[in-house]
Amino acid sequence: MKEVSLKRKTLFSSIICFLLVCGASFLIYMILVQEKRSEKIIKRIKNETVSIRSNIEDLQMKKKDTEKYKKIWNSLTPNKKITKGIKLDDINSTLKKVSDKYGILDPQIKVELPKKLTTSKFKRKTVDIIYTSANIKFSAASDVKALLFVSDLMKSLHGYPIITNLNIRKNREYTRDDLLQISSGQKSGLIIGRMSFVWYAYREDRKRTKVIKKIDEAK
Amino acid sequence: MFSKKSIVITIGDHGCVVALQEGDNIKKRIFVDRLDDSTKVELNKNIFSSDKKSPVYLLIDTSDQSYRKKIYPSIRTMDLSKIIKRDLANDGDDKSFKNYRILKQKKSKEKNKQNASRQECLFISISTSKVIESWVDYISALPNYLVGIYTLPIEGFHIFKALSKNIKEQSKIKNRRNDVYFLIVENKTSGVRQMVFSESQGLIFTRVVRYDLNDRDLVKKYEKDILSTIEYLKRLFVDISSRDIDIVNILPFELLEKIKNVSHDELHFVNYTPCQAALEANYSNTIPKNGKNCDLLFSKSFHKNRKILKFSIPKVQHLEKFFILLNVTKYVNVAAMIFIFISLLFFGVTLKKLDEKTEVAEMRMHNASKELSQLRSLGLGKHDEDVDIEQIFDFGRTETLLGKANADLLDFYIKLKFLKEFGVKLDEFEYNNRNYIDGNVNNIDYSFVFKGELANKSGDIDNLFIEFDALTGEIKKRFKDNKVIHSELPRNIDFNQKYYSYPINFELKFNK
Repeated sequence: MKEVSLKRKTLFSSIICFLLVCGASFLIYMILVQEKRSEKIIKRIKNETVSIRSNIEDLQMKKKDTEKYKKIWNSLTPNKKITKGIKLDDINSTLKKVSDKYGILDPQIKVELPKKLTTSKFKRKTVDIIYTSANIKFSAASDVKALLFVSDLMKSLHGYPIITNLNIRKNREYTRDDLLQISSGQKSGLIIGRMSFVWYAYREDRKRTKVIKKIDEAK
Repeated sequence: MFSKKSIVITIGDHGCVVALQEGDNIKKRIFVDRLDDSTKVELNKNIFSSDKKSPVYLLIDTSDQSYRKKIYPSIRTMDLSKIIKRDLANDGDDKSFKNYRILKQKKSKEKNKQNASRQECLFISISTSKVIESWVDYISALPNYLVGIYTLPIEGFHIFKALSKNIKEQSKIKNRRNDVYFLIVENKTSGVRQMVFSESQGLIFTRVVRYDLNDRDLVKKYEKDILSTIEYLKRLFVDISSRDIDIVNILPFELLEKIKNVSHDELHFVNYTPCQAALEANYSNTIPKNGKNCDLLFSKSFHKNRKILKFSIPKVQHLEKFFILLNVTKYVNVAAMIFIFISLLFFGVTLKKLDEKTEVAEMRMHNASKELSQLRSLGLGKHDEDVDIEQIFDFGRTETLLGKANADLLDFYIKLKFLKEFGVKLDEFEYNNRNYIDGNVNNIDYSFVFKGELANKSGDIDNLFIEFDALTGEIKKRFKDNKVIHSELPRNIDFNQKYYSYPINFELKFNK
């Protein structure tokens, strides 16, 4: 009787024990699953936040750059906004104009075939950057006129002409005859000038954005 | 489960004491002459019906117990136990409860080689009786867990230990040569019992004696019983002597008064009444002041202390398995419930933390989104609407890259005006900047070269050197941030010649 009662109690207690152990295991499983799930959600939210923050930073950077470039844009001379590329006719007419201004009679210019720059440094969204190199030989009456001619010519060319080499020299002293010839317009002078320069200019990209219609007046 | 409760049934030749122990108190006590139906009814009514879960211990205090010492060679305890169990099994007496105790080796001051090579074992056997069997049957039928059978003399060692400090304080023996003590007690269930304890080994010997207070020869009989026990002990302990033994009496006051007349001057006594002994052992409220018997003292001590030696019988062993399993599952259930409770709490806390974390993350995302849409709505600021913002970017980037490529030639040339003061006439001027060729933008350095003649009015070579050094010094001073490279006047110059002018060549390097 006692044995039967004990067996019954033990069995009952064992069943309860088993159920409790199962319950405890299930609870642990639920905790782990819930933790994992929540962590996944939190990770996803954090990733999205990081992405948004990154966009914010990009935008802020872009805004900063925009301010900077707007300032630069406003300070650019009209010459630096021209997008007609490099044309020999334009160069020749500019050269003539400037040469006449400084009494340089026969400047000789050689221009290489312009090419479009495609490296990442020169890749632009709205324009192409064209590059060429050129050499000019000239003679001037004085060193000052030679330098003024060079300076003015560089300013007259649109885009970014950059002098790579300039050499002005005087081989002999002026004689009376030289001075007479210069004054009569037969000679430029005894100052021999040689200049090499590279030239970066914009060319409109017809496939993409609209052309600049207005040219800002120089301030 | 949590309060220490037990039912201790002390069974002796003259009756039984059933004590319901709870913590430090004896909640109920019943003296039973005989276990018959009426007694069972009374016991059921007063004790067992209300305490079905308390474990039951049988503490045997009958006279029919034998304690026999046997000596074995000194071998491993595991092997020794096997040999002892085999000896116990081969013992012809099947009807007694049998067990053994391996006695601890006494630490002797004298190096006794003989002692070192042997193990002493105490064989204990309790004769079964109808009384004991009827109690076993009775308790087995009850729901209570019958833990096992114990002997009062063995378990009584705890009483001795509880009193030992006081015994030593009261002892008159100096230079004790052994640790043997007598304990003489009177129990209602068995009468007067002599127990001999060794402090290190526990019980060595016990027997029941009978004294009648009205007997004229009581004192002599008492003395004789002690001396005969001592004689027996001499067989076990070679150097034992009556003057080295403290005899501790826990007896009724009247009996103590009588044995004060013991004349043997080699016998040393330490006397307690049962109440005094109980108080000394810190078992207050156990025995009344005028109490005569020690049954409840032993019962209390047994309940409070660790059990020394259990005797198991097949009937008890069989049910014990179920009790143990039941208790284990109960404990596991409690542990599992506690674990589940803690897990639920932890789950709740974890969920809360995760919710908070999620909320914080969502808040941050929301704030970031808000900031982004605010920025987007502000746009990139006002600009000429005819000009695409991308174009502004394109032109700005190019200007940043190439805008400062050209040096100011005129400005530099004007700076060279000071050369006139040194009598220098320039006939060549050159500018070099090779950083922008073929689409390469290096932005490193550029240089100016100027060549000409340095005039020397006097023509003297010394003056020429002075003028040249002055010129060089001035150029370096004016262009101190730049590298100045120049031609030197040759060391092998003809000092006899006149030099009215001398060619110069200077190069100035500029870093961007």
